[in-house]
Amino acid sequence: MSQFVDECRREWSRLGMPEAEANEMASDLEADLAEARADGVSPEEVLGNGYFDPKSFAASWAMARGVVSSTPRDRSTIRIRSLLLAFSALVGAVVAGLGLLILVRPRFGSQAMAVPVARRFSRPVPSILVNPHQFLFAGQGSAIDPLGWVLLIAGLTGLVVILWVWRPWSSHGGGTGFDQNIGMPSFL
Amino acid sequence: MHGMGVSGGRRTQLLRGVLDLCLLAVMGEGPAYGYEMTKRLGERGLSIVGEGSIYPLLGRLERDGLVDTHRAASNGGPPRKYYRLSREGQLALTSGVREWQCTRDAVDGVLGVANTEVSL
Repeated sequence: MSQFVDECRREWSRLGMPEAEANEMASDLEADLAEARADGVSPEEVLGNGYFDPKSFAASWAMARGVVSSTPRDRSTIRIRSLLLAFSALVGAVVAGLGLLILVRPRFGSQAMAVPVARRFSRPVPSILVNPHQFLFAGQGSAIDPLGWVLLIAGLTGLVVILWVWRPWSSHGGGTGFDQNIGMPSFL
Repeated sequence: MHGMGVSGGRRTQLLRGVLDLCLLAVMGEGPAYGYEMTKRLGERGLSIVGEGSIYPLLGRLERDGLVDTHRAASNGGPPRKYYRLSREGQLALTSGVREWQCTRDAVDGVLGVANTEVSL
């Protein structure tokens, strides 16, 4: 078995490709290269640029056949990105929640909160939605209100940005080294 | 040097869009295995030296059901995987050739009247 085919075999094995499929592909490749050699044709003429990068060639071929969905490196990247996005979303939500908490804090201590709390059981709509000024501005003049607004806006902005980043990324599958638009391996 | 680089990159881009059609076309002449298709392409002047490989593309055509495969003995050699057009592949080739001809005519209409002489 040629060194090139041997390296392809190792890559297919690393990708978890079924043995039977790998054997078949290696056998075909070996036979093609042997016939080309007998014709005086170089491997580069048969394999193009793939000859210089057996791992990418093997991975592209396996993915194109649908034998493996993505390389372990792709899967690892997707997992890390997902975790980062989830963590960022959590931080954004916590920051926004903290800001909201600062802005509505009079509800838990001031006299102005007596009316909405008393009506809470008779009104199906939360009081904060009916009379938001009683909650959000009851403590006007407090030194930490600007901080609340900043946190709320920063948190919500962060969540919008994360959503903005997540949508196109998730719909494109994070990239697999395969040019989906024209259906060709990206190394061509 | 720069011009050669741009030219080579453009050739690759152009090939990317039509190499699958070219493979379907040479398969239309009869079942063939991988290297045999490379030879058929070369006989028609389409060399892929310095470009990519047809193998991943054959894999995609097979996955998409555009080709049928079977294993058979080659001329004195080991059994090979032969590819041939499926019905879906024939339909894809027909519509693809039509698209290519329309695109080629439109591009010719533009580039055909371009002044390609470089004044010194």
